[in-house]
Amino acid sequence: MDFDVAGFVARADKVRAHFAVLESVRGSGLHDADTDVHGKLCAPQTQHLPGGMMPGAYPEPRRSEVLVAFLDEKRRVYRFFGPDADRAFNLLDGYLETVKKRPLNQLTGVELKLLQELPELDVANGVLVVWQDIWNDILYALYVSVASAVWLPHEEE
Amino acid sequence: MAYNQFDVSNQKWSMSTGAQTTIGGKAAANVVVKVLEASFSFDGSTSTATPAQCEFDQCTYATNAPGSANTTSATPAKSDTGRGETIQSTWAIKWTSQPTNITLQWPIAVAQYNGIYHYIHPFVSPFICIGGQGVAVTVNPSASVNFSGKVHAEE
Repeated sequence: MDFDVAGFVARADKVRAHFAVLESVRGSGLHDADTDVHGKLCAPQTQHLPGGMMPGAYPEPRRSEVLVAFLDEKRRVYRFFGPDADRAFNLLDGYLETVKKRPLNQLTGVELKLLQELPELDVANGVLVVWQDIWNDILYALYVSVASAVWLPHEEE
Repeated sequence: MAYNQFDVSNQKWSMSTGAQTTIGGKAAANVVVKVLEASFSFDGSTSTATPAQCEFDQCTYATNAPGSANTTSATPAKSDTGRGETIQSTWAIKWTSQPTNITLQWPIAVAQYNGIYHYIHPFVSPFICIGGQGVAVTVNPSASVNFSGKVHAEE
């Protein structure tokens, strides 16, 4: 299939730009200095810090740096386009290398499955295709790589 | 695939007033989700705050489906970590714009001052979410408060 890669990249950038605006507004919940009712930092990128609402928790990326995928429900696949495809692929590749170094008998079911599935992924013509039936595993791998993803419908609403 | 149980949690979400969906999931086409538990808790420190209105809902997710830009995507945590089968439904937390269309399944008012409610569906009557449809946990606090809760389900 041929895709308008530039069009999808523009839609993804629009979502990140929306989050960037929210991050610049106090009280949006995404601003660096936003706090919860008890005065603890509560934005995704600050809540794990000392003084945050969940110190020591796994760090989360800024929402303006989120990966954007496009869900094609007809074909049951998610696709990343352009720079997002490369970034997601590199993150997943890096994750795969860390899993490969660990003893097999200590891996969870998700990690074992990713060990088999991740090598099958590839970026072709600026598109990374992920099957919907392993999407939650891919999301997990992105999370532990301190990334995050949102997804939009393949067809513009 | 069967008996693949999992939790989706939302820990310490700083909520303002107004109805907001805290946890929600959409079943994949042709894969039913059996919801077994839902819990709500708040860490309010003002005893005069009136209770939060909490709901367990059906939702079609015609708009703002789990994972969309107005949500934070969530990875379901399997109860059996050794299983390789992937959870097929998609889940998210922290809706910043309410999804549509919501149908109330059951409501409860939960105290914001140390309030907690954990509903375990009876073994004989779990909530069944058919393929392509969704469930949502919606909370309407009376004052700013942090929410923690979860949904426990099975595919």
